[in-house]
Amino acid sequence: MGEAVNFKGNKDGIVLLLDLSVEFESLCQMIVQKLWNSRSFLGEHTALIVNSGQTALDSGQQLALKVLLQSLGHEVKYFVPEMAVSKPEEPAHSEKQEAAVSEKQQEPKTEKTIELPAGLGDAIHYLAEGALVVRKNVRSGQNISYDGTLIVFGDVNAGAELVATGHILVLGTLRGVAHAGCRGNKQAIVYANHLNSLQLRIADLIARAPDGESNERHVPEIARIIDNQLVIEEV
Amino acid sequence: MGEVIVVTSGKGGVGKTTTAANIGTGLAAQGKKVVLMDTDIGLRNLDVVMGLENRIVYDIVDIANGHCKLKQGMIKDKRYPDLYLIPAAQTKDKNAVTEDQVRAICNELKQEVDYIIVDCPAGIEQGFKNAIAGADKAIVVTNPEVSAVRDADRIIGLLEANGLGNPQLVLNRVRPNMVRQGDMMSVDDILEILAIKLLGVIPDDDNIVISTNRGEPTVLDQQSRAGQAYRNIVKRILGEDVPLMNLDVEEGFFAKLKKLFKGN
Repeated sequence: MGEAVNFKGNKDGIVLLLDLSVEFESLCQMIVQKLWNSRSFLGEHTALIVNSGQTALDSGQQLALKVLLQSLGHEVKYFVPEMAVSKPEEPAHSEKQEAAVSEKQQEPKTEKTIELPAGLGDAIHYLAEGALVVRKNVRSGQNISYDGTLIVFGDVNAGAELVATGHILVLGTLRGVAHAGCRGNKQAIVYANHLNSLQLRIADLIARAPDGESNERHVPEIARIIDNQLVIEEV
Repeated sequence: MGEVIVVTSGKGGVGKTTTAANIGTGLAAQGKKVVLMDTDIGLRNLDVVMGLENRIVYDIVDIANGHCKLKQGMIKDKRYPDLYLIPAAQTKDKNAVTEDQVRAICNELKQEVDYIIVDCPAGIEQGFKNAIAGADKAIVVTNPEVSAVRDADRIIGLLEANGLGNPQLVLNRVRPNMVRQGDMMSVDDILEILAIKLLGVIPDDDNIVISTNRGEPTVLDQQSRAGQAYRNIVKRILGEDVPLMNLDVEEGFFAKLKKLFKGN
């Protein structure tokens, strides 16, 4: 096959072929790269069938891919082979996501302004033009601002700050402050494998954690704006 | 060629100086040639903890500015012939030396000794920058308190930004009883946040106060539990694989009595 990420068409639609011998994080990066390179071919909001060959992706990986594809303007049709644990996505949910994505696509692309803390240099990868991936824990006092979607593979500790004009995805524990859609995009979302943030901001709305309570439920959650309210719900 | 290890924490009062003194003394007790260097200019303490205050003639500022030779500024310890202290100046401030000067001192010392243990001041300003300038490795000290862990996290980020990735953690003043009751963060809680390698856990021990006041590092006290924890850390620095000590051995009279009747 040569490449770890490939496209193939079948009667159901476009299949994203994944080679799982590659480390999952690198795979995600290749996917983003591939999708960006094939954007004219794919068009917008394409439902992709994800085929991982012989081995099924685990539920965490499937979830990560769903969020990743959504943030890039597409969605997952289904996974091959399927995972017993994973539920098919609720239709209402994905509609909302599509709406979020379409609005984002219409935004005029502005010039990228990136502020990065020193020392994170080699852990950062620019993915095509759309997303910034940080493969490191973001620590107290560090600030990552990005014009676009920000993806962190690692924990974001209390005292750290993530700011993005697009979505923010944390594939780890989010304890610090995250501000998605910082230029007013109310469709932006914040996703974390474990959302335990002291404060979340989307566009001009701010939500803070209840005083003296910590989120002990280790389940992936998404924060988004619904009816001008910042709502956090399980994925 | 020696190794420069900086002991740092961000927050004050978590036990940087105590840790530096004990690790340095412990390494010397293992036959290594060690220099302890205090970079907390204006608030020097390491000399007091080591019981060497009365021997100070020259300090780090004198060495940096060439007022004395490096050898003249190295105070010989009263216990071990191969243990030296370079004290901080008390009448100056952190800007009295530059990062380049500290780096130069470290590089010169590395030719002569096995370990240079640098005691870093609290904070993230010039004093911190000076302390880490010549370091090869870093030890981060913290307490099981949210504020101390927060500062440790900040410091780890700054260390990484300055090329000192993979620092090691010393968790100081742990009280197993409080951890058991859920009133104190556990070792695992802290490691989950900081995500760095654990070098050692020091139980809260009243002996530390006594030994600090006397100028006798606890690491030499065979009865002290904190001393034992520091001896383990020293062995780990020297490459030995020492398991974490069980912090729960402190038993009340009744617990012992119960055990006795149970016949084990």
